[in-house]
Amino acid sequence: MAEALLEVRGLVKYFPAAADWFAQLFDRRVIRAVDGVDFSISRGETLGLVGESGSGKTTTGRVVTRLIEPTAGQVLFDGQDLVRLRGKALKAVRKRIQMIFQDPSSSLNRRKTVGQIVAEPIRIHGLIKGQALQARLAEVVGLAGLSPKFLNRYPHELSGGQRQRVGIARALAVEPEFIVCDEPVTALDVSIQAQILNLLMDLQEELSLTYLFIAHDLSVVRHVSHRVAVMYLGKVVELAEVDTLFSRPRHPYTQALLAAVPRPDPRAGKRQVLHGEVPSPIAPPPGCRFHPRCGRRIEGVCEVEEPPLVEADGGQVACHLYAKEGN
Amino acid sequence: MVREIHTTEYELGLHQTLLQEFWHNFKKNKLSLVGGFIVLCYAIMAIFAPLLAPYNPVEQFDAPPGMRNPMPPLSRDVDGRLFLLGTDKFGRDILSRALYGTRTLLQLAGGSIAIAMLLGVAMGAVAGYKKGTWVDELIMRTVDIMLSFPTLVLAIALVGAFGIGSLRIGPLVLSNMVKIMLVIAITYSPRFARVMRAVVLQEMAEDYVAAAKVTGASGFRILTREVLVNTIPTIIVQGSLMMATTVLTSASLSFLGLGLQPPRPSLGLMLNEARDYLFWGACCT
Repeated sequence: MAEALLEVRGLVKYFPAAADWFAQLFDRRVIRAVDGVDFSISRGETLGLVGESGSGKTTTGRVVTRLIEPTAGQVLFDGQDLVRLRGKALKAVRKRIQMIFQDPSSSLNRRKTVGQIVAEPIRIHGLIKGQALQARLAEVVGLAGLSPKFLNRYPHELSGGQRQRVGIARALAVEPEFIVCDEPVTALDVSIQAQILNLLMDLQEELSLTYLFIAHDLSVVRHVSHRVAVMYLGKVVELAEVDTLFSRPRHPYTQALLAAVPRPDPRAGKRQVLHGEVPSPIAPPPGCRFHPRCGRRIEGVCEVEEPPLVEADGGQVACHLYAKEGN
Repeated sequence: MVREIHTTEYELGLHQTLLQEFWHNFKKNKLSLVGGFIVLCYAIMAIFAPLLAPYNPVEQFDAPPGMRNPMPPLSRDVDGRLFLLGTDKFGRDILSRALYGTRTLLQLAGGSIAIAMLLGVAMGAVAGYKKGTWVDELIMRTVDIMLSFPTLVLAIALVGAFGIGSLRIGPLVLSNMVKIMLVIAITYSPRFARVMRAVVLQEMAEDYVAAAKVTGASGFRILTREVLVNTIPTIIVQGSLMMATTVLTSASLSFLGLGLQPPRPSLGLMLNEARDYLFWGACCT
């Protein structure tokens, strides 16, 4: 495997369950949004991060971009621990890490033109000034597949797909190496999704970008990712090459997720259906967090002991079924 | 094909500035047109007071033999000058004084609203940005304390603290007018702070703020360059609502003799002076 650009080690983020500091005096419970996550992304790679709502995938993405301070753990970017960076050093790294957001109508300032929006990151880092800036803006929106005439438009004059392209252009403006894509196509029409995904993949090739691609749509993740990490209740339960994961899922949760993808085949047979709700992240189940809903749980083991994420042929999986196998 | 349709749609010119949008909505509402007209009349009265006023508002005129100041409306003085609204007890033209009074009152109200906005917006923005921290608590609790006093009582207390007349702070001398503006601004700024904080909180949850943070924008930059533009409509609405109440407060202050000092024409002061004659000359009031 190539050199790791980003490495996340033991990432933990707890949010206080109580609303304000006063209520927190009496209620010390925490929401375990992310509870010990490890993964690494090599240069030029796309790591897909999938999971249900509340699995902690968005929180993970926001910690990696330092929008949220983690409770514990390290985020090593090119060898530097992002969590410790302050001031100038942090700003320098911020030029190298960008983010594409889920909802382009919220991520674009409605009172600014496309040109102003895309120029802002360049201005913040003082990269280009004056005449050259206009040329650079045209170039950047061009990369995102928009014509320069859009520079004078306001977000409300654009379609959803065009807005997301503006979001992409803004992320590209400072020539980052690493982009966190937080469900970049979830808010778009299916017909536009493919366009945006292909754009992202072309850009990756052209600009040798590295992506952390967060999504809950498995077919989207399969399309863009090289490797995929599956999260459940704040933990990575399985991490593998995309083909391995989709052809031979090992963790029972991954299997259930894949079985839930609708198949246009009437003879496909009965689907494996998960029962129950995702347990509360305030009080996650002891032992393996998936055990209350797992069809293959080992009594006396799964509800007691938390399975570690271990190497298992070509990937990593956190399940007692495979820990036994390894021994 | 699809692309072409799109471009023509955009060529239609959906561009609308804030002002155009405002005027479009304003035109549609009959009530706001009438209200706007009345406000416009007052504004013209205030702006053109020196041209409209028939006499100098502080000049005293002598009543003709057999009459005494204050004179009733439509009376003439010794030299045969006509006073449409009569004179006050010092023989000054009431119409001119009312025009000049409106002028100073509106200046006062406008000035204090502007200062109140500045103060309040700054406080609210910082509190909203630092949500949940001690800075937020400090600012908002101060605001709560100030709001717990009735506006006029707080204003009177502040005038009492600053003293009547012009205010001297070290080498800086504030005229009485500026001082009153400041007093009213301080009493009204908490209301702006409240509203501003709420809007900032709402805007901070939007992803464009996150995008600016990811890029490395400073808190000051995020507030001034990203969030502020989106709070302007709300603040303007709040400001225009507050304007009416500041007019009342400043008039009340001068009525009580704590505001503008005679002989400067002021509506509140005129009301107070005319009070003595309520029984036999209601027209003065």
